[in-house]
Amino acid sequence: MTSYFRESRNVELSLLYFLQTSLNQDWTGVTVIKTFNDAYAKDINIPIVCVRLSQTTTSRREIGDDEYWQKYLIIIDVFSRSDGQRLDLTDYLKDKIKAGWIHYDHSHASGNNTVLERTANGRDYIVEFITDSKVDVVGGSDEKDKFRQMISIQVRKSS
Amino acid sequence: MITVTVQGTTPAKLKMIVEGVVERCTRGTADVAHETRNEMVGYIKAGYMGRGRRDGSSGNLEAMMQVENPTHNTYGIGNIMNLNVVTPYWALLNAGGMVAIKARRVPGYFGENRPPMSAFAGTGVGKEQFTYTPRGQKDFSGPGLYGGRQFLMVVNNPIGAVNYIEKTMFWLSVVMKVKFGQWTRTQGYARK
Repeated sequence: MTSYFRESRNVELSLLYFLQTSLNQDWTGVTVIKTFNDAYAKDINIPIVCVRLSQTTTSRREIGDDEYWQKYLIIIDVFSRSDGQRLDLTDYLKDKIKAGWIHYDHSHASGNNTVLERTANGRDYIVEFITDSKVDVVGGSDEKDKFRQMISIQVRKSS
Repeated sequence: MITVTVQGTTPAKLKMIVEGVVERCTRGTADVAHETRNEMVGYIKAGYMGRGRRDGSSGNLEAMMQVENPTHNTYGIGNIMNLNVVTPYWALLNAGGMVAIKARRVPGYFGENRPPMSAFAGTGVGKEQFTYTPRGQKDFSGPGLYGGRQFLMVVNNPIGAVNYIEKTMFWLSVVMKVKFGQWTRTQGYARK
């Protein structure tokens, strides 16, 4: 039996997959992860790009319709080796995602959640760039936090 | 004889209409600012809740998020200069991150001067607020099971990102599009 993922999860995984494949092609040694805590794991070295779906807003598509329309807040944390790399990697990511990416429906065979099947189903695109700033945390002194950028975007799936 | 008849809105009436709209916009902006503040406080609280609110939490961050009106029709939430003094952890809580270099020890104590020791696992120690005490700054005369000693906590995990700023901006952008759009339509200002 196959387990199919729902839209929110597919939006997150589609962007993760898109950035993974893009960065593998154009950069060397950039790790793309989904779980924030993993960025601080000993065995994962910077540069790291952490992609996660943080929030969803749901509204009616139109009056009288029981379909709803979801918008997603996706946060992309960029942990870099230097200030220059932080800026380069940020610009690269923004340039890549600005035109949107393929939305995949993900599924996996029951009992095997390590291998994901992907079926293209439309596109995801950016409604708005919300924030794009250097993370400067008072008290944060870890090596990985030194050159960090946070991009937040509002994303929608094409209907 | 030529008769001139003024039709439509006179300049005086137009002035009144515009002033009325400006007044409604001003009140509306203030309402949005207060709603946005409430939303942000909600995200901060939810961020704490997700991690289990600790005994002794001051609630300072929520209290600091007040609507400021520095100039006419300009609103801000939280004063960054005050935040940096009273709640300097505002950015760390928003963005997440390590409070110290991993495996470095942070001096301080839990609750009533209890050490962060595995021997206390399951007793509630460690779920209390951790009080950071820079070396040499602790009052050793205070009460406590351990005679006012200072302890060292090994930092293993990062502070999770609450992203209350991004969540609020996301919420606001959706609200502005939906609510402002509805308002302009009901007022007849929307493009036909």
